Amino acid sequence: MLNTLLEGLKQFLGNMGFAAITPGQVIMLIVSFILLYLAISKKFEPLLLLPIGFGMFLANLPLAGLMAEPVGTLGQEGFQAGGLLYYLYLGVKLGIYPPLIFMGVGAMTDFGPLIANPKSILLGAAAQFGIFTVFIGAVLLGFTGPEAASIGIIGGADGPTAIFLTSKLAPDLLGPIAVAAYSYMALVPIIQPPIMRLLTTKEERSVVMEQLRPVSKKEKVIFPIFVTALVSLILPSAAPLVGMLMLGNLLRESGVTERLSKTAQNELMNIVTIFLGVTVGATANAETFLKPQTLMIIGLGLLAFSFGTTAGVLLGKLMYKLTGGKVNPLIGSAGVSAVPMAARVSQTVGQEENPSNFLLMHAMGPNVAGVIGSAVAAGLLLSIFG
Amino acid sequence: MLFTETMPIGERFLNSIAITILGMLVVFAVLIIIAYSLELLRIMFKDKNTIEKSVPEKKEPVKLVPVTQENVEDIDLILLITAAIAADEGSSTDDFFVRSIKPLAQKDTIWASAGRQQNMSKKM
Repeated sequence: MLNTLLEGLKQFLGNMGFAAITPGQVIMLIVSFILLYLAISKKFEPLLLLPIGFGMFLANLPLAGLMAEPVGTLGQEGFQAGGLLYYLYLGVKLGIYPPLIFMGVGAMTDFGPLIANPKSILLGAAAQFGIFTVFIGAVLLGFTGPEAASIGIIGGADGPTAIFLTSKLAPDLLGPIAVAAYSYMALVPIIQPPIMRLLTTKEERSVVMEQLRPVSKKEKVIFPIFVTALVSLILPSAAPLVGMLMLGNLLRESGVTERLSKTAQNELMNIVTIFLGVTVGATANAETFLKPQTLMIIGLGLLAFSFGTTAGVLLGKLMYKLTGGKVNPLIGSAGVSAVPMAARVSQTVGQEENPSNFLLMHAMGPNVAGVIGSAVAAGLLLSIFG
Repeated sequence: MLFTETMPIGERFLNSIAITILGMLVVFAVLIIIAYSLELLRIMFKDKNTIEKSVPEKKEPVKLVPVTQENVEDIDLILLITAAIAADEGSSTDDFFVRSIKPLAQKDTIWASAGRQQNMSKKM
């Protein structure tokens, strides 16, 4: 009897996670706790970093098999179903979740400031420079073309776009790239202001811009249909992202689908965010995450953000000169997307010089143009490397 | 393949620069087309906007039309509404004129209307 008891105890202890845990998993668990800490205590993009952190935590628990692939074929003998997160991850792998998130973003976005001031769209294009400069850097550091493209897209400051492109071009890098993209988006208010102040003069920062013209409903309704047609015809690979973004926007602007618009921006978006966050976090296992290249990705991501901000502000300065001082260059930095955080940063830095200056609506133009710009850039990279 | 491991670093660098130039050109081109199309949209809808702005609305003085049986379909309805307003305001029907009565489209849900009616009947 004693023997049976000892045998049972031995088997029980052998089946415990503690017995199977590897040093790599311990480190990954610590990384996941850091992310959870940043999300909960520091409030860094908590809606995403919390699910990502917890997904990472779950996937690195030994023997739990939440990301395990299925064995055999369904309906045949010996079939073993895969882990829960494995199935939820299919939404990322097959490129379903990011366009759904984009639909919610579209339903929340007012393209009015962009339609009112079409020139501001150029600032959204300039800010995509960060994507391509870091792409060059990543190629020089030895990353393959698809990997370098996925790293560069961090500079688009657009989480769903980064996940969409990386899941298609370099799925192994999804964990580090998603963590870097969302961390930097949370750090926009810290990364951007020093660059903005460095590149602009006090006089430029104090520019008060003219009030935007009112935009008619017809323009707002035609805009999403037109942009979808144009972008999809030029870059078919960008159609899932841009198409869903504009569908969400049309739900909002048409005025006849209020219920659908509300669902897209609330319930649907929240559900997809949970699935996306948890499964993206779950891809970060010790084998793919604990490599020197993760540090390189995090470093390059920061550079991508900084270059994007710099290019936006510099084009803003050019527009300031060309318009005889009517454009405040601070709105250029908002071109990196990260809606609406980057626009709020332009507003805050502008108000430091002139407390009665309201740049927010002017910055929203480049800001939402940046979303379209980074989706176009992603579509182009996908058509080259996909 | 644009980038292979055996490719010399100089060639990789040049290829990546070519992709950067192409990428920025495409991003700018797409967004510039959108910008110009927006200008076009604005011009298409401009005439209407400017007419609305340039011609300020002239308010014609309100003509008082005496309420008669001929120009009112249901005099009882007017009397009822006038009395209801007077009762609600705590004033007399001599203090104001009812100039027009327009039925409004049902904006609330049927549940909201039912709830409001219930509240009103409790007050009465």
